[in-house]
This record gives sequence, structure tokens and C-alpha cells, in this order.
Amino acid sequence: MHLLKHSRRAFLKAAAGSCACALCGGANARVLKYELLASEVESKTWVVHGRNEYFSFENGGNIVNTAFIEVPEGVVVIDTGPSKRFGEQLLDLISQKIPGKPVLRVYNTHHHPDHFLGNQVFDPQIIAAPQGVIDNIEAEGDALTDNMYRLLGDWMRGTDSVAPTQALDASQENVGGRDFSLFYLSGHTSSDFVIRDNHTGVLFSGDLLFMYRAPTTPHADIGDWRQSLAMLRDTDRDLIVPGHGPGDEKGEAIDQTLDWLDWLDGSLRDAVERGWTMNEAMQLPIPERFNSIAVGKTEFERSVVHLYQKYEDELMPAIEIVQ
Amino acid sequence: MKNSLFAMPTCSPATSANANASASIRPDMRKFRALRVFALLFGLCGILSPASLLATSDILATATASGNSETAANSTVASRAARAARFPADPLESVMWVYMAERFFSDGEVIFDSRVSVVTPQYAEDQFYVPVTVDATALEADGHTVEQIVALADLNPIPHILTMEPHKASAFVGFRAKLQQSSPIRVGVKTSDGTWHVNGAWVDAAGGGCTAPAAAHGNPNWMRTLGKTRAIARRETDLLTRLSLRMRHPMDTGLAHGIPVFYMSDIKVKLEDGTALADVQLFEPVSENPTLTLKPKMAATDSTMKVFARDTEGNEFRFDLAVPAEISN
Repeated sequence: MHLLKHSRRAFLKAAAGSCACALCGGANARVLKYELLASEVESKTWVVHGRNEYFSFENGGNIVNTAFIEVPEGVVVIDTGPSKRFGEQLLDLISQKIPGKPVLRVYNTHHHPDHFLGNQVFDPQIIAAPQGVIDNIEAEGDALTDNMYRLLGDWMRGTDSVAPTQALDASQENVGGRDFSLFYLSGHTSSDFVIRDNHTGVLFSGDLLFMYRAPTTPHADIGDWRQSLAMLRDTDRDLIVPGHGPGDEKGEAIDQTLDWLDWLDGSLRDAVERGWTMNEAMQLPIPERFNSIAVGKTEFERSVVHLYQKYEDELMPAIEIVQ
Repeated sequence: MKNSLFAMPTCSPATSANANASASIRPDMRKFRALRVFALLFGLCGILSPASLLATSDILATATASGNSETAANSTVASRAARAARFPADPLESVMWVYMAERFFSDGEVIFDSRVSVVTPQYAEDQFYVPVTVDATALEADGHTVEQIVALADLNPIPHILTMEPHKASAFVGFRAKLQQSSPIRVGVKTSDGTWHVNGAWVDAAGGGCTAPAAAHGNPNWMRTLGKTRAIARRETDLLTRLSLRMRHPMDTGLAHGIPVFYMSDIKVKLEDGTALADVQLFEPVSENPTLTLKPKMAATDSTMKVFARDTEGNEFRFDLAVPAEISN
């Protein structure tokens, strides 16, 4: 009787709990799950599309594209997401789609936290990137991870920054019977890594390309970025998988990213030459042609802080001082 | 301990500057001195600047009183309520509001006033450079004369960011501040009738902005660029100009391990004949390489503004800036 009463109480408690959860719809009450979906964009090539948003507790940091490819002898993974939890759920998804095959290679496109913090769930010996990406993760990974905990809370539980162990510098690599071309670029960060599957012609651009989402600039050099875009434009490919946004067959992601960067560059130069404060620059209207670009206002405000002092160094006249 | 002792003597020059700004707490200097000895004994000087000590002495005194007995606790609660009642309730609901008001705005009536525009981003993308633009020209449009603009970050270990006196300038100032944690950015604007018009906004921040070494210290030759200046002067109307300047200075807060306090403390802008346009007192939380935007009132016939700057070590920097006669937008 006592036992029964106890379990009845437990049942009621659970029922009340789920009821409360349904009422408030709060993410707090449920188990944190990303509900990852893989879409097969090309034969045996799956992309897990993130939302075109900024980090929030609601999205758990799932704002990024990750991808995996079945190659003859195993699986190749491109970027690992924003958290250990994401990495675990990505790995589950891979084993559903490609049962029984080992992950042979994990590539990190650059050191931003939404792209590599799932590394932890993979064998460090198979995680590869250019030395620049590795250096950046080693230098900034911990601080970036701390900030992700602050932004995403429990989604980040147990996540640590893990740098790739394999430094790449070759222009090609064969992984499990598949040839990949490797491109060592920069501009979005000081080291941006682009991977092309030479069998399918799918180009994984990392965050050098954004589609229907405003580019982010915390480590950007717009001049280098433009050069990288010109190079990508001339690179053979059948499909681009950008770092954020939908797949792109026509190269629109290149146009969109370049258009945004040109506008950003011109606007900030103008603002600095007028002697505007950063706050005044942030109030500049976003042109209508960017209406389809998600989080434009947020990213523009962030970019003002990232880039303004570089423009001041370049454009504000140096003054002779008397001491 | 070695570092704390090393840092101690250099705390002193800044004390006078900070004490001026916190006159309301000054009678308590004996308690402050005792606390400073106490702090030195426990090697705390490295992490507590004089300014924060001044503030802390007040808090500690209250805490000690409240810890003794229930009666004492009750009277403290009562006196705290009485103190709070002197000021209007804080729309930003900051726990530090009453302390801020007592320390900075106690010499006049305090009202929250939306005519003081305080523009900041909601989120500090970079806790070392949080841009703030203050525009209180709406008060001037309503016939007030603005005497002082005081900018604070309630929850910084050193809250006072800067004080600007627009002698012959619009009630406008742009600057960048370091944030140690999420905090209200609060601005009090004192008008000639003695009233403090207060407004502000919360800024969310990852934190650590005040306790990390300045980027300058990454370069062993950083002293060679001290005071190097970039500036733009433009004419906005027949009577109004805009000055944006940035001067190289580490703006060391004294809170980074082993680096004594050292910051640009005064920037004054004058006409050629010496007429004061604007005076700005800067404090530790102003960002490295302090950047100021001001709007001096200058007739088309005034073609030059003179800028004088001084830091806490007594280094002085001067420069002249030509102001174009023609208006550019």
C-alpha cells in the first residue's frame, strides 16, 4: 500500500511536471535535445542545417551547418557543432544514416566555437585542420568556450575545447578511398579551411560563405576575405555548402557574402571619416536589399565593434603632439 | 605578495583624484586609512583600487554594523531604507543604485529623465571596448544649462568612468568603457539648478574587462607610442563642430596582476584664446587608447581648437587641430 501510494505520488509529480512544461513551453523543463535532421544534399552526403540565428538558450547554439560523407571505407565529418551534446547527437545521427562504418576523418573549418566544440566526442587522432586553425583553437578555445557556457547554459554541460591533432598542409588528401581537395584561405578568420569532395564536387566553404544570413566578423580581415571569395568563385564545384544557410548550386552565397562585406566596409569607412561614435554608426539603416538576410542588424552592430578601430587606425589622421 | 607591495606606492597618486570625485565619503578618511592598512596586511591592494576601497569602506561599515545583533540589523535595515528614500526608485533595479546616488549625486535633487539619451549596445561584444554615446541636448533645448555629465558603471570594481563639463560645447559625449561584468551604464547630467537628470541602460557582458592587462603590455616598447594621437575635427553647423580623438594610452586600472594604475586623467579642449570648450576627467574604466567624441561650439571664425591632455604620471600632451570653416555632413 505504501509502495503504491509512493508510486502514485511520483506519477502525479511527473504528470504535473510535464503539464507545467506543456503550459510554459519552456526549454528549461525538457531534456535538452537538438532534434538534428540530416538532409542528403548529394549522394551519400548529408548536411545538418542549423538555424539562421544568433546563439540563444532556445536554439542551444545550433546555428551552424555540419556535414558528413560516406566514403568507401568509412565516414568523413566536416565541423562538429557548438557543444559536446551536439557532438554526441551528431554521432548518433551518423550511425543511423551510415550504420557500421567508422569515422575516419573530422575536419574543422575554423576556430569559431559553433564549428568545433563537438570535437570531444571524436578520437582526437582523426581530427584535422590547418596549423593556423589549431593555433587559434589552442589560443582562444577556452575563452570562447567560457562565453558559450554563459550564452547557452546547460546545453554546454561537459564541453571542453579540444584542438585537432593532425596539422594539414597538403593540397589533397585521400580518406578511406575518397579524394578531397584542401584549400588554405583566410579572411573570416586568420585561418579558414575549405574542403572539396572531388567525387561529388561538393565544396564545404566553412564561414567564408554565408547564405541568407549576415556574415560574422569577430576575427575578420575584409581585404583577405575578398581575395578568398575571388578564389572560391574560380574553384570548380557542383554545390556549395556554406557555414550557415542553405546549399547553393549557383554561387549566390559568394555574391551575398561579397555584397554584405562591401556594404559593411563602405559604411564603416564613411562613419569613421565623419567622426561618428560607434553607437551612431550602429544606427545606420540596413539597405532593403538585405531584407532576406537573417540577423543583419545584430551582426552589423557586432561588426562595428569588431572593425571600427581598424578603420580609425587607417582613416583618422595622425596628429603631431607636443609633450 | 611581492606584486602587491610593488603596486602599493603607485596607488597613492590616484587617490587624490578619486577622493575629489567622492567628496561625500571623504570625512571618513580615518576609517579608509585603517582599511588600507588592513588591505595591505592581507595583500589586497593588488585587487582593490583606491576608488573601490572608498566605496567598499562604506559597505564594510554597514556590513559590520549589521552583523552584531538583531537590533543593529534592524536599525541598519531602517537606515538603509531611509537612505534609499532620499532617491527615486531605480528603473534599472541595480543593487548599487543607492550607493551610486549617494556617492555621485547627493548634492542635488535626483530625477530619472528620458531627455538624457544613453546609447549603448545591449550586449558588450568586447568587454574592453563598450561604446557609449550620451546626448543630453534635449535638456538644453528645454532651456537647461548642463554643467556636468557623469558616466558610471554601477557594477564595475571602479564605477566612475568619466566626468565631462561642457563649458562651451553641446551636452554630448561619446566614449568607450571597460566592463568587469554585466552592469548598468548610468549617466547623471547636472543642470545649473542643481538637479541631477539620470538615465542609463543595462549592458550584458562576458566580463573581465577591468582586470586583464592592457593590450599595450604585449609590446615591450609600448611607452614609445604613449600619447600618439589620431583626430578628426569637422564642422556640423555654423556654430557647432565635432571632435573625435583617440590617444594611445594603456589606461591601466591597477587591477591587472602586477601592473600599477596608470591612465589618462584629463583632456581639455580650448579655443585659441584659452576659452574652455570642454573638460573631461577620465578614470580607470575608460577603454585603452581613450577615444572621445565631443561637440564644441565654435563660430566659423574660430579656426583652431587646442587640446591638452595629462595622465596620472604627469605626462602632458598638447596638440592643435584646424577646424574647417565649411560645413560637412
